[in-house]
Amino acid sequence: MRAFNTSKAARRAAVLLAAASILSACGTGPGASSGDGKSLRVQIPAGPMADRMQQVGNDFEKANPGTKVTFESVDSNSSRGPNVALLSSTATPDIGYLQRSTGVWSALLKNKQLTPIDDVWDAAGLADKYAKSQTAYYTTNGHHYGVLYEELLIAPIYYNKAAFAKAGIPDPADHQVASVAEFESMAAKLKAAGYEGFGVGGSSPYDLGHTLDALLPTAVSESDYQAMLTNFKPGSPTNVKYTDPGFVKVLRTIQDWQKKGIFQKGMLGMDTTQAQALFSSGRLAMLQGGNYSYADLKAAKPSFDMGWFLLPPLTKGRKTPFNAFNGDTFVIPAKAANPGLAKKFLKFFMTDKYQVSVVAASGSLPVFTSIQPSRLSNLGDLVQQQFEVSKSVGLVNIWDSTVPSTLGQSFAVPVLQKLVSGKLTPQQAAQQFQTGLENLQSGKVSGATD
Amino acid sequence: MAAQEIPPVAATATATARRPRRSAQKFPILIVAPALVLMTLLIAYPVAESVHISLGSWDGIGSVTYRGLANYRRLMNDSLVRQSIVTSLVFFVGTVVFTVVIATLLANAINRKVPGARFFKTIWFLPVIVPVSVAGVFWSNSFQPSTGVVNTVLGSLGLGDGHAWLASPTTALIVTIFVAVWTQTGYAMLILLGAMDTISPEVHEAATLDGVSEAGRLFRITLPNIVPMLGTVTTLMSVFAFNAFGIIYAMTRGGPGNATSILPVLVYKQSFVDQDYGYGSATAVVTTLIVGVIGVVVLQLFRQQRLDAR
Repeated sequence: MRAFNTSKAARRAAVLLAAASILSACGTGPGASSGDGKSLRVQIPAGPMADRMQQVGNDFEKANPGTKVTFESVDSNSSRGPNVALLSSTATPDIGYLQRSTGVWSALLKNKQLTPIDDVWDAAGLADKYAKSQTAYYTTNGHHYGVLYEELLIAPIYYNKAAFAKAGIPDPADHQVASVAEFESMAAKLKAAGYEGFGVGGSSPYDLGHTLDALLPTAVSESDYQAMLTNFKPGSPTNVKYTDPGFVKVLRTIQDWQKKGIFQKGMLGMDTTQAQALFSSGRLAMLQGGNYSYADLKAAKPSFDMGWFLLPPLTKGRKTPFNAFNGDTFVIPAKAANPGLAKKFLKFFMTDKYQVSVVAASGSLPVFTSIQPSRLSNLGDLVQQQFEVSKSVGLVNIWDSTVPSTLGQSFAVPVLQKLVSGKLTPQQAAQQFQTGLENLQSGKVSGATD
Repeated sequence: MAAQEIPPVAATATATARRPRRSAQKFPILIVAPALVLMTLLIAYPVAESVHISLGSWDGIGSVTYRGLANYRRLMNDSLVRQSIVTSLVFFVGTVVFTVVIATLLANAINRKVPGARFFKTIWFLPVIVPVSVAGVFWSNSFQPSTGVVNTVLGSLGLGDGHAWLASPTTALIVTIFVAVWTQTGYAMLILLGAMDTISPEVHEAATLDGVSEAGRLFRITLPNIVPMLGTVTTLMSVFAFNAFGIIYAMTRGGPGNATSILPVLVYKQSFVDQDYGYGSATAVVTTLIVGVIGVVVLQLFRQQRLDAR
């Protein structure tokens, strides 16, 4: 019998192992792109739009025989950070999803990992269809690297009509509350009637920031607000500070609402979903949300009718505008296997037809200015009202998702949580925002130059 | 003596045994080589790369811009990092002490065959198999002030039903420690139970006949006999406690403010939210050093205990 040569066997095993490792590294397993010009991988945010995008994929496949569209969803947390690794890798989908205000956009752009898509913009006529501010926001050095496909209205306050009736509060006229005192009086009456007052998902990474966003445009002048949206950039005028009285007033109001018990009990320990559940159960009378919340609230089948209004202005006589979030973006990563097909898909998708049948039908607002509210009966009654009212009271770009996240949402929410829990005074919190601004301006933290 | 029983011929044969062939000498090395390669690829390389990234500035793409020790200098002056270290230590001490003490008591009770021992063994182990995210969501809902089961139970006991557990920086940390203990105790209990099972029942019987109480047997017989395993369990729980990202993130995301932001949560925020991978890596390196020091200290403590027990 031939002796077993252990050394030789081990050598063979080692070679096989090495070969297997190399093969697996080079393989085209799930998620890898083929670059055949026929198959298209599209990343979409997890949520209500995911199902409707499938229809766009089917339509595209019919219009382009032989093509195959696959959708891959990305969750909110991943899309705000870790997704950068995928979108800059060779395994990237052909079309990626990101939020324009996050560091993902900045990092990809700075490292030339986004394909310019000026031809998509030209073919779809996007410069004419977007508002000027949106076009400017999506133009970098004269080029376009992404398409904005939906707009979100931030911070409408949904309310329980039965609770209002029980507390003897009339429906807010024109969806506006005249003053903070009136709002606080409403909350007090609701509490006396056995309800929790004003619900915010305080432990979520964005909801408390939206309260600040809603109050801020009513507390400072229009020009100061515009300065706050841009003064993080090096060389911008810096005369507007976060320690100025208007911004401090917003912080003081938020802290006061906690002290006065306006917020629901345990607000800082409750995320958006939990706050929504409390509202749907009928215990909470008012809930801060967005146009995107309405579908979920209706799906919970509450036993009461809902209405909505905007938070009160902090300056007497002013009307509260709507905050708009313009950030949900599709991009074509530089390493996409099928950039040509990806561009074709974006041209196919960025049309009035899909703005209505996909974007609006998912509860979001179309971004094309040409689309009138009357065409959007599929939005749902309250959201359609919000869309109509946004045309009259005006829209402002949401502050905490326009400035870089190192000053905006990811920075602001923990500071606000400390403010609400009494760990910071309004002045101390304001100083933290001002320091955050100065760190951006000086380049100490990143994000100012995208 | 056993050595004298070896026949002379055999002893000689052993003494003059032929040296193994060179190929046979290489074989063990080849056997461990794949594991060594994998460890290098999956552990040593990422650790080295983290140290490399910590010495520079990196946004997740492209090459690292070398900045020397700038991230470490920034870290020394960052109050958030200092707060996170303190939070991590409080979380670590709370979690490890409660986990090991409760696990020891439970294992001892089951080992002593208390009524329903098998049932309780299963019940206490169940949290271990519950995914961390599910446990986080479950307890987050349970600790809600107006709808949570915890306040309902406390209310029925006359202890107040309005506690906003997760909204207060102090109680939020206590709640996360509680949930971490809940998820880890079953695992620690099972390991300690295995160690207790190796103690001869006769020893306990003899002690009982000598009139030693149940508590006396625990401290004089059981604990001295399981010191090595207690050391292992404490070390494991220490590492788990310092890396308890999942529970914290699922329940509080490090809030309110940064009250429950232990070091891994801070590393996540710095790296993936702020896209400041250099700074996040520097914090990760410091975290690793702290965990390493704690691990060594715990092992040394139990090594000394073991020597004292001899």
